[in-house]
Amino acid sequence: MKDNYEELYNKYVDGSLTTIELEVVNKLLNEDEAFRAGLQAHKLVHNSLFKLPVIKAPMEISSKIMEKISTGIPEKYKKSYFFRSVVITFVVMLFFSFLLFVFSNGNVQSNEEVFSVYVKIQDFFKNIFIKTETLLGGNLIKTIGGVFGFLILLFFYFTLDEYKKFKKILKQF
Amino acid sequence: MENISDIEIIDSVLKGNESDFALIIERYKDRAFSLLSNMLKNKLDAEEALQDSFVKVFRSLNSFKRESKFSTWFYKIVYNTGLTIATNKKRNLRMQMNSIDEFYNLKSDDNKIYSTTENIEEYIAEIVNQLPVKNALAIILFYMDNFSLKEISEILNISLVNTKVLLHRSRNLLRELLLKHNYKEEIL
Repeated sequence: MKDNYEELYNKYVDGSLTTIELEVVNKLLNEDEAFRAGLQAHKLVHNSLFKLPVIKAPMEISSKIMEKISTGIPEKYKKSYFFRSVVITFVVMLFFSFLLFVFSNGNVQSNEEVFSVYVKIQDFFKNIFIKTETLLGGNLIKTIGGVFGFLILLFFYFTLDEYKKFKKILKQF
Repeated sequence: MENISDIEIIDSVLKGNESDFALIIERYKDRAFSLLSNMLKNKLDAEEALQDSFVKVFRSLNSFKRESKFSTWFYKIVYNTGLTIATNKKRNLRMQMNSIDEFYNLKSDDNKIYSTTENIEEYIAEIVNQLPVKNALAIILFYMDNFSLKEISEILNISLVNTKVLLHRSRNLLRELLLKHNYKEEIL
């Protein structure tokens, strides 16, 4: 019975009683004193809740927030381009390695008449590869490759970072 | 200024007028602060959460898809920021208490609250402040911010049925408390 009453109280204050339920409520209001008291208390709660006090935010909060916004992005919200740079560098180096592998591979079968351009490019890369390897030796070329990779990584990192700053400056205009 | 809609302000901010964001802050700061104060039970934490919320909102304006009202999206961020701050500060939010029936502390606190408050509005406000967080937030969002049950369920990330249950149980508890006290005479 209590549960039924509670459902009716809530539906009453929400204005979602059906016609039949409204008839039941009217009947109970006339016949059941406990129901009447409960409904009035429920209405009182409902009306009082509309008067809940709003707690004022500190006075200087707006200026503090605007200052945070205008002085740039707080470190914790800063997107890091490092991971992106690593991925791009990896892809670029993979691409160059692939080119180097394809064009320096002496086993690639080709018809010189049909693929003359291809053969010329292949010869070009093969020559570079062989000459560099002869000149610098195996370990040195690996070291230079590593340094080259690192430089590409830095290049992408700073380019992306500068691009972001540039976009922000553009926005201000 | 009140005639300008939230969307118009956001559009202006996105066009580069960052200072217009102050209008959004002015519009929402007090109600968001009320919500966070109730949630975190600490003014300093609430202020920190409020600042973080607005900065997050500003930084994420581009990702606001306009499928829901700005206020719903905004309060979702405020609520989640409040949760993060609470977790970071290891505050006990009584979040685990899904049911108001488990809220046993209120019974002993109630008489104390009743004797120290001067009128019914003050008494009810104090009791709301003592409710489990989700119950209190459902009440605040419904009555103070005029959100619908569906919007509240989106903000609190709970089902519509659960939202309705939270609101109804909170009201039922408050009614029982009023009937228990002298307000019964006042009502009758």
